[in-house]
Order: sequence, then C-alpha cells, then structure tokens
Amino acid sequence: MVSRVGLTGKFGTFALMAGAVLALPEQADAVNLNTSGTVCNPYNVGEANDIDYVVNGVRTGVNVASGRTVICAVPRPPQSTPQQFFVDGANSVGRSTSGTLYAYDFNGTFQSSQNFSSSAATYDILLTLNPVGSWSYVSTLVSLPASAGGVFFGTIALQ
Amino acid sequence: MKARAGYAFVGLGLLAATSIVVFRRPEAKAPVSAAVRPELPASDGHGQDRQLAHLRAEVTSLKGQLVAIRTGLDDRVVQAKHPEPIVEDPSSDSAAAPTPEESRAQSALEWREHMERVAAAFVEEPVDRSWSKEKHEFLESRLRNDPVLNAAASGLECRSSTCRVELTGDPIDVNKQLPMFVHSLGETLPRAEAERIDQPDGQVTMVVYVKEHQTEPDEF
Repeated sequence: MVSRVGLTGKFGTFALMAGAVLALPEQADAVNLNTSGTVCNPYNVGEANDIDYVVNGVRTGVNVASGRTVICAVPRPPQSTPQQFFVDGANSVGRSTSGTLYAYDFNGTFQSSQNFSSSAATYDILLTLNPVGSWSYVSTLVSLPASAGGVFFGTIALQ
Repeated sequence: MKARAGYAFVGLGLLAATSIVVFRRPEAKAPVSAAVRPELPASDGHGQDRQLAHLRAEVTSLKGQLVAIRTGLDDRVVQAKHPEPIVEDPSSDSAAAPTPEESRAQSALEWREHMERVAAAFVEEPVDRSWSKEKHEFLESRLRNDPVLNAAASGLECRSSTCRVELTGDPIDVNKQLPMFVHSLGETLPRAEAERIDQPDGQVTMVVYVKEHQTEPDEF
C-alpha cells in the first residue's frame, strides 16, 4: 500500500523535474541585435544642432531646410558570413531616405557596402553584407530628408 | 539414597544451565551498515570469544580503511595547494582553438582569398558595351564630384554588371572619401567590395568592385 504522503511526494518530485526541464533556456545562439536610430551621430560635426533625436529614432530638425547625414553604429553577433540586416524607418509624403551599410576590418580598411533608398511611408529593407568577418565593424550612414521629413528607426543585425 | 539426591542435583544444574543458554536475551547492538556488518558465528560454548575476535578483526580492518581515506584526502589537499602543470594534449580541442591573433590573421586571409575570387570573376565577366559605357560615365561623374578621389583614380573599367575602380593615394584621404563615394552611387551601383594594396611609397591602392544587381551571396 502506498501512503498518501508517498504519492504526494512522488508527484511533487515529478512536477519539479518537469518544471525544471520546461524552464531550460532555449538555444542561445538565435539572437538578433536591434539598435535604435537614437545611437546615430551627425556625420558632419558642424551639423550637430540640425539633428533631432526622438524616442523612435533620429531625424532632421523641423527648421532644417536641407537633408542631413548621420552615421550609426551597428552592433552585431560575430557570425559566419553572409550576414543580413534590416534597416527601418519612415518618410513623410514626397520625402525619401537613403543610406549605406558598411563593413570595415579591424585595421580600419573598407571591406564592403550596400546602399538602400526608400520613399515609402514606412520601410523595412533587408540588406546583405557578404562576406563580413567576425572581426569586422559595421555601421550605417543615413541621409535624412529635410525638415523632419523622415525618421530612421534603426538597424537590426540578424543571426 | 544419597547417590540419588546427587544425581538429581546434577540434573537440575544441567537443566538450569541449558535454560540460561537457550532463553538468554540477545544484547542490544548498535546498528551497523550492511557493508560492515560482521557475520557473527552461532553461539556455542566459545561464542563470546569468537565474537570478540571477529569484532577485533573488523575494527582492525576499518582502521586500515580510515587510514587509506585520510591518506587520499591529504594527497588531494597537497595537489590543490600545489597543482601540477597541465600538459595540453595537442589533439584536444583546447589546443586546436586559435588565439585571437591567429583568428584575426585567418579572417584577413579569408578576405584576401574572397577578393581574389571577386577579381577572377570580374576578369571572366563578359563585356556589355552599352552597359559598360553608361556606367563608366556615371562613375566618372561621381568621381568628378570628389576632388580627392578624382585625383586618386588610377583605373576604371566596366563590364556587364560590375565595374572596377582603382584609387591610389594617401591612405587617410582615400579611406575618408571612399564611403561617401560608394554612398553616392545609390541604387545605380548599390554594392561594393574592396581590396587594399599597400604601395612601397606609403600610398595605398584601393581596388573597388561596384556591382549593379543583387546576386546570390556566394557570387559576390
């Protein structure tokens, strides 16, 4: 005869083991790195006051009459190539945003790049750098439309 | 009569002795583990002496085991305080893992090999005269917009989907202007890859391949 306490104890042990198994973390290598456009900096230092940072990214100031360029760091998981990225943003009607994704080696030498451009209300563009070494740096140069005509949301490094 | 009484007395004595042996309660024993539980001999006339001898043998054996355990623990303490140098097995994974410097050198080598393949593919690419002329003029116009790179341009050749631009000059100047040059190519020639060649005079030649179309990653 199995006592009630014994049954409860066995069930409790089983529940604990099942919980522990279910609570195990998933494979830790499928990680994207999303970097907001708020990390961008003015490409030309003299234009620093023309750049406006908002909660969802970066844009030109409302009173800035012409386009401005920003450069944005792109943290990424160092993985084998090719590596893909998404650039995301939004444009006002009749405005467009263009940019370039760059890879530089650890000696500061240009390796590869890919350009993008969009006049869509919102854009979500997939770019590929091939190859990009695990020791390379990646950055995004973005030409923003004038007068707060577009917001660059940021870059996502896929893995 | 006297002899009968003697036999009776002896018989009663034997009966009493037998009763004591048969009905004696066993002594309470401390529990012992199965591993060290001695196999006690059955009680007989010399039972207590044999039990005592057996228990003495067990105690002696346990003392020996205790000494062995202590010796092992002492050895471990000494080993922990004075660890022996680890001799790596060359066939193990840890020995095969590259150092950061080796990994960087390997990465640079892979890039050079990749660019060799890109250069070879460009040489084999057929020439589309119309496309080549159009893109040649486009690139010349972009280079004219940048006095530094226009002066550094030492070669320009277009084929059917790829153009090769050679820029030779001061490394700082070329590296500073190159990103804006490829950015200026926009959607016309949106992809670029470059190989750096250091010249003996300190200058650098950047051989830049710019390409029109999106292709499979392995091809470019």
